[in-house]
Amino acid sequence: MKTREKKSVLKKLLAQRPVVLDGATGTELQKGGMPAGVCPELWAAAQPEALAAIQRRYFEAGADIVYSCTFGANRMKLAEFGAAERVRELNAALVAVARRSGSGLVAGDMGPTGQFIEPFGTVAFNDAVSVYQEQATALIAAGVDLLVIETMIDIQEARAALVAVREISDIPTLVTMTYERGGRTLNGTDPVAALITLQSLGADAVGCNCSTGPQDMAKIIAQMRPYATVPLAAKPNAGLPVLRDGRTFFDMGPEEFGAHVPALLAAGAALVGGCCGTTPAHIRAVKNAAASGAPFVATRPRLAALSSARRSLIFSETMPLVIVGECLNPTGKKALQQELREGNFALVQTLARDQEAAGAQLLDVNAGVAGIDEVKTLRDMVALLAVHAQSPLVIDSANPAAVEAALRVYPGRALINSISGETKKMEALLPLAAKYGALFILLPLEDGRVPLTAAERIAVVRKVFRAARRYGFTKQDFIVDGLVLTVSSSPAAARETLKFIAWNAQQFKTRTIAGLSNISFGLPNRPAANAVFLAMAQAAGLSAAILNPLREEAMLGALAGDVMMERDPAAARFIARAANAAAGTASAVPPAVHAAGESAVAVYRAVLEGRRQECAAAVSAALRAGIAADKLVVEVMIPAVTAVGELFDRKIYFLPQLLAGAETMKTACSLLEPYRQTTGPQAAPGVVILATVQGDIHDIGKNIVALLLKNHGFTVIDLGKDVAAAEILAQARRFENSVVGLSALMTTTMVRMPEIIEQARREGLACRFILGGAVVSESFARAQGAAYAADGVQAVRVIQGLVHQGV
Amino acid sequence: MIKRQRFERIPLDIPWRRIYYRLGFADGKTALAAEQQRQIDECICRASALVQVQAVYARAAFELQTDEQVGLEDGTVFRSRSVADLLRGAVEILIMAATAGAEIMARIRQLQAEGRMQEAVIYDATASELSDAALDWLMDYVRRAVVRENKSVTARRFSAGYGDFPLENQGLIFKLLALTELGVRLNAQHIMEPEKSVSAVAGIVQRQEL
Repeated sequence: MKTREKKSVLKKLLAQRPVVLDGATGTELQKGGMPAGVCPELWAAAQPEALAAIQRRYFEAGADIVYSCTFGANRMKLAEFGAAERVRELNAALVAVARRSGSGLVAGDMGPTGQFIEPFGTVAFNDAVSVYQEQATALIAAGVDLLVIETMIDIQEARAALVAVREISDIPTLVTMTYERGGRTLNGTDPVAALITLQSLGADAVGCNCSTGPQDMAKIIAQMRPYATVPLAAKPNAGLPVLRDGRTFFDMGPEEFGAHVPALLAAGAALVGGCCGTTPAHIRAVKNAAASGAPFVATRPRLAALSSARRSLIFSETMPLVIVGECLNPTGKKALQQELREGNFALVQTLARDQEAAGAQLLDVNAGVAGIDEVKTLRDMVALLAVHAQSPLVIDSANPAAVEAALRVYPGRALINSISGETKKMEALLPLAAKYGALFILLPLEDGRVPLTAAERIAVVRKVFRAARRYGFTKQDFIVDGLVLTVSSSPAAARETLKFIAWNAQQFKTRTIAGLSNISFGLPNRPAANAVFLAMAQAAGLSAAILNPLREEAMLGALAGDVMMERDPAAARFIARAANAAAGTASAVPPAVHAAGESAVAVYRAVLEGRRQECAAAVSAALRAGIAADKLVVEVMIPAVTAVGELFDRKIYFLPQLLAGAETMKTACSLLEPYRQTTGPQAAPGVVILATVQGDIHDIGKNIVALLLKNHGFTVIDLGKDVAAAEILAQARRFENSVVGLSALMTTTMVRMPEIIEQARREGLACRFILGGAVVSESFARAQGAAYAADGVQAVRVIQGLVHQGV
Repeated sequence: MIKRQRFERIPLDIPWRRIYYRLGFADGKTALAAEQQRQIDECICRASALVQVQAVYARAAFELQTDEQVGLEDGTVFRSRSVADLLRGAVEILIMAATAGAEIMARIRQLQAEGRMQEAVIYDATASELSDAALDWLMDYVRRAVVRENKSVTARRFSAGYGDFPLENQGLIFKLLALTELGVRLNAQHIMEPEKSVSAVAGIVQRQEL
């Protein structure tokens, strides 16, 4: 049978009624005598009758499609059993067994390789494609009616398998993923994102297997249904695993399993079978329950949507303006250019996350830096962002090789920026967009010409659309670039762009996108000009804007535009963003501080609320107001930092707030230092020697204590971490009556503490000890005759007490 | 020979709540102004951008299982009642480790040296929680990977340095997982460096369908 006929057979079947898939094979083989730990494919090939009996029972139970027992018959899995060279032979033999077991359809089953594919893992994407291509070739040659890629825990591996198939055949292919209890795959892919990625990449059906029981799987199917352009498949386990005597069981019987099938069908499943724990009896129950089910009806031919490995963006007519973050374009950004030249992507990660935090829904990624390998750099950036960013990516390059490298490795459905009316661009990029299922930005440029009027641009749009349709694209598959030119050199630029955007929105019924900053080039106060143009473009029907989301005024402007265009119900998003109101953490300012005047209150508040940036101005103002530096420290700042400690004690503040206050205090103290009359060790309440004991490398807690002690006027001798006993004791001899603070985080290093204390006692040193650190308890400290503090604030109080006692 | 599987990039969501809790945030008590939260969140984002989580795991069969110790196929013996108890009924041991990498630690040191303690503690908490999250991820991965072998992974894991499982066992885990390949070192006190490196053992149990 030819591929086209195979597609037609499946289509006809789906048009009649819900299609019934088979149930579990592995557990049935075990019941048939397969020992644990063996390779199921090798065992089944050696015992074909045992396998044939199971598959026959599935056909007899009513399965329309039975999977070949080739789940792990790929080179990588077979290598674990020393059978990597038997891919072709095993797949052929096992398909033959399924074929002779009944007259229904046989699906060539392909499961995971057991390895993680880049960008999440170490296996090169192309290597994974080769592995699956070898198996798919063998299965197709063996005469399967369709292929099934199943139990995928990683969207990238599912992509690799599907790309492998599509590069060699158009055979019907069903892809099913497995989801964790939270409804996402291990790598965070949700069912809708997976659906968008896989259906755009050419899967004939998408779904879910294993994962969970039928009730929860119905929820997963229901999530996908509104966005599915292909039939959905469900192969749940026989209920949720139950733990008994340390072992897990699936205990949902066939009758109960079958009772859940109508809910699966109602949720949108068009193909239903079973996974772990299901048997031919379960499949018979599915068959009976599905007999009266409605056939699959496609409700949505195409979907304008993008996906990453963790998120999706579905375009709709009423959605707010989509914000595309532009900061990952190195044009005019020296720091980013330098990092890309050095192959260092830390700034890329930071910019991605900052833009997402600021509200970007898509991230434009460009590697156009002179003198670098753009193909490699863009690919590496995309691979990195696939792991570290949430948002779908916009692949921004004029180089088709770079675009393909990026699309191939990207575990989602990307947006290509852009495909123009230039003949070479169309010829190179339209097939790529089709192969990888990408959306694209249609840039209304032609060979050697920038169309200035809306009418000229409309002609280019029609021309590109005609070419795109030959690859199966519809108006759902591209977004038209408004082509924003500079108004200072071309006075009609804004008017023509707005006219063009309005034509796309109202007449051609397609989406538009615009990069804003070009419009104001050469003008003063560009942000204001950009904001006005954005508002006008939104009014004309603009769907998406490429802008810098880190500019708050730009984001607020876009959100305000959504309010005006009735795309932000109750202005909720705008209000939430604009409000940004302080939660009101400050406690009352003491009367003595109030009495010292407004500038003293400002210093107090700066310390209390940890506002470092405001502290210098506040301190200067206080000095100008005639408040003496010593008074400011003693009567304003120390009460403020003490209040911070109290708020921390009451858990109203947590550690970052405590330290923000402490650092503000430190900054203020250093500013006041030249003006103080009583400075230096003589004025200090005491000397504290701090050290993390020998062998221990953890010192952040000790450093917090040092900062807080300094803020309370103590002289701190910080010896650092991994400090030998001899060095600590030498300092204790030097500073008589000092307090020695020892820190340890590990059980193997805390044993140094009693050794040091013992040695100090033997020498008759007058110092007192205080111990702290994760493994140190109060009882341990007491047993050594030392004081104890659980945190920095407590340490300051305990040390103040030790110094006050003067013991 | 015990086979290891290594992961050079693990896609972890930022465990916001866990980072906040580690820093002492108390639900219903801690009051945080929106601007303060924005600054802390941005700091967590910057920190997580520097964390390069790498992880490795190995599965090994048992040679010996008693109430007090477990012996592995390569001769390694873990002496701990707690570990033996965790692994009772297991058919294999899962040994795992993850590191947040050296770059984040260098940055934390630099921040401390510059006196920017607030940022340092946020970076520190972020790195700690991402390392722990990597072990969670690894366990989920193995749990999913062994499903077809009709096996599962215990819900709990146990780390050296806790209870009666002395930190010295970290040396055995270090060797078994060849952690030098992840750029991790072990000092004489059995502490792993970079500091934000974690290891643990769990059990792989047989499942059985009714």
